[in-house]
Amino acid sequence: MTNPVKKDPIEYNAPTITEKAVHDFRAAIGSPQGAEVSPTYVTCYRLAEFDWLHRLGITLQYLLHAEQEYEFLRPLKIGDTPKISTTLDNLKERKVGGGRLIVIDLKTDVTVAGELKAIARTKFMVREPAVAT
Amino acid sequence: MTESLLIPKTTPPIARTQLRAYADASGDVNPMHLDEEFAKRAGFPSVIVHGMLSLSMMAEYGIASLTERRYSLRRLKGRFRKVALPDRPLVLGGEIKNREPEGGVTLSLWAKNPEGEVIADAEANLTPA
Repeated sequence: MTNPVKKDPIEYNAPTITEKAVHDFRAAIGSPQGAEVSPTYVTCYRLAEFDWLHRLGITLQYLLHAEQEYEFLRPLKIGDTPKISTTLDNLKERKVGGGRLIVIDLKTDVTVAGELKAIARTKFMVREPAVAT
Repeated sequence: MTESLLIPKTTPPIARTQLRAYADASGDVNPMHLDEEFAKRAGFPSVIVHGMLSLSMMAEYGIASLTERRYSLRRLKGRFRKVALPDRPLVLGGEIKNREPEGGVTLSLWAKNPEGEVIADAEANLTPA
């Protein structure tokens, strides 16, 4: 794992939500089509989580998505251009059987025009095996 | 079956084309879900279904199960217990854990594989829309 790690948030501006994007997401999750943005559409804003994993030097091969939590404060709408900000909430590491177990907690704020629309909390677990000598 | 149990729903088998569609729509292009060789090197028999795809399906199922009025999802917390493999359906189920006086509802939701193993479970808090 990369050490030391920059702690500042990773932020980006997501594309404006279009009718097509809403349609494609609903189709992908097998949800009936509708004009409203599906609440779990916020799962589209996890790019910065993977940037965090890269910053931490995590190998995707050993990564498990353990938990996911969302607070939906205000609905996203077609035409919204979300700003995404992901921070590292917690990082724990311990040795397990010659390898390592790493637990990573990331928090993502989804904001539109300064208004907080959703908060996502992601827990990843990384099980790195022992290195053969 | 108690009054609080939701009617189970079996999804169509989750095809690899759906994993591709979900990856394209969500931006989650982790090769674990798209690249067979990558997934096998990681120790899986094949690519695996996105955890968030399962959770999204569970959330939509929970919302649709409450038919007495329209609800908005306020909070969703899911735990991924086992990987789900493609070309297999999920059985979605749940129950109403709590009804609040002001109309809010708390659901327990789960997704099981064809063997009956829980691959994900979640708690959802909904309020009247």
